Amino acid sequence: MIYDLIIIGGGPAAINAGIYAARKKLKTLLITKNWSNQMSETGQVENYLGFESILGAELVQKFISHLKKFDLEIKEKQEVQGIKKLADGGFEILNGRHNKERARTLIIASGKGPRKLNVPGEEKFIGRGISFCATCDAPLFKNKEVAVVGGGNAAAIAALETAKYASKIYLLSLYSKLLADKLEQEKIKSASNIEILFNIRVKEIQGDKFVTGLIYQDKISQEEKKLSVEGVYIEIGSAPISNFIKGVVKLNKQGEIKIDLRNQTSQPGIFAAGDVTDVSHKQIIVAAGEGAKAALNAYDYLSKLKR
Amino acid sequence: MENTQKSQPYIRVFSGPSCPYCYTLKAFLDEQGFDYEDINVAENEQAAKEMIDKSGQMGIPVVEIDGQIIVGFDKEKISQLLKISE
Repeated sequence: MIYDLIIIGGGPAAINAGIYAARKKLKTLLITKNWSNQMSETGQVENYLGFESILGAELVQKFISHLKKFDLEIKEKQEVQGIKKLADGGFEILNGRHNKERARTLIIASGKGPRKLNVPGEEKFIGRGISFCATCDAPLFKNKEVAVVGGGNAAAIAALETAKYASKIYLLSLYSKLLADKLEQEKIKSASNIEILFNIRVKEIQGDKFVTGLIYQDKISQEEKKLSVEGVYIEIGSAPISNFIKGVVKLNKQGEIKIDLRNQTSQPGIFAAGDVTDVSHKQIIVAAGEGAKAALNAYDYLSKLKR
Repeated sequence: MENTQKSQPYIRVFSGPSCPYCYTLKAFLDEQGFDYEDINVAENEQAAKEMIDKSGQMGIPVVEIDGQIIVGFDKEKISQLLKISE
């Protein structure tokens, strides 16, 4: 089986690309590890056309049921490991350990995911005290001491959300100041249970079954210290999910896929859309529009091949 | 989707007030017509402890279906246990 198009991703760009491709009667497969994590983990969305205020998770459900009205194949819970260009001009993708799928064109719309610290203990304790979603897990740290790693808005919001439950929050900023908005900074200063530590580099997260603490280095004194906490929120921004396509298409310094005005990557036949690309402004509605463009451009590309 | 023939299993959902995947999970159970006990771990510390012990992890939602524990909104596994076919 050779598809006309395989779409990789499960966010607004991928879903809308799926709808546009199906309406053009392209033989389409959409593969995704999960449905938009970014949208699901955000709170209320108030800037998507047609919805004055809607929970991100609810909007995703509406996108998915809209997509499923159309004729295309969907494979959920599959992670693409790699992509290979074939001699006939098509592409082969490796999903999971042994599954392979072939297509004439691809749309990469894998989005962004949380940036990790890449320190010992991090992988081991994800879900066992380490969380990337304070809105989700804050209640579980009631009356506990918690560290929030980061100094930007996401870290500030995570600290404030956790402050409703935890007995003490250490906000660990890599820099000598916070980068969060003034409004958030003021709220943090007035919260009695948040303590900010500056110039902190986290070196290791420790624990047995669950997190018991972390080791950090004071960047000024170079001293290493231990902080006893039962929870660690890592809020140091997000990164494009583009590792699996490195070497096949050109990426910029941030790891975003470079695209032109027609969503074409450096590799003819591979298109990209949404937050994984170097498009300006990462917004749900921008990603959805980019997905539509990518599908229509893939359709044009296929029409030229057939001629 | 027919709900008429389903036996009613015992379902407990450990959730939190602002947890987006809890919302999605409960919306799914509602849509499929299942009754469940909704436990707010932010208010019920004992239930939070029970959930952490049973699931061996600290994320919500967790759903318990006739004694079986499922971590997160794992639609496939939940559908399988509840015999939901799409």
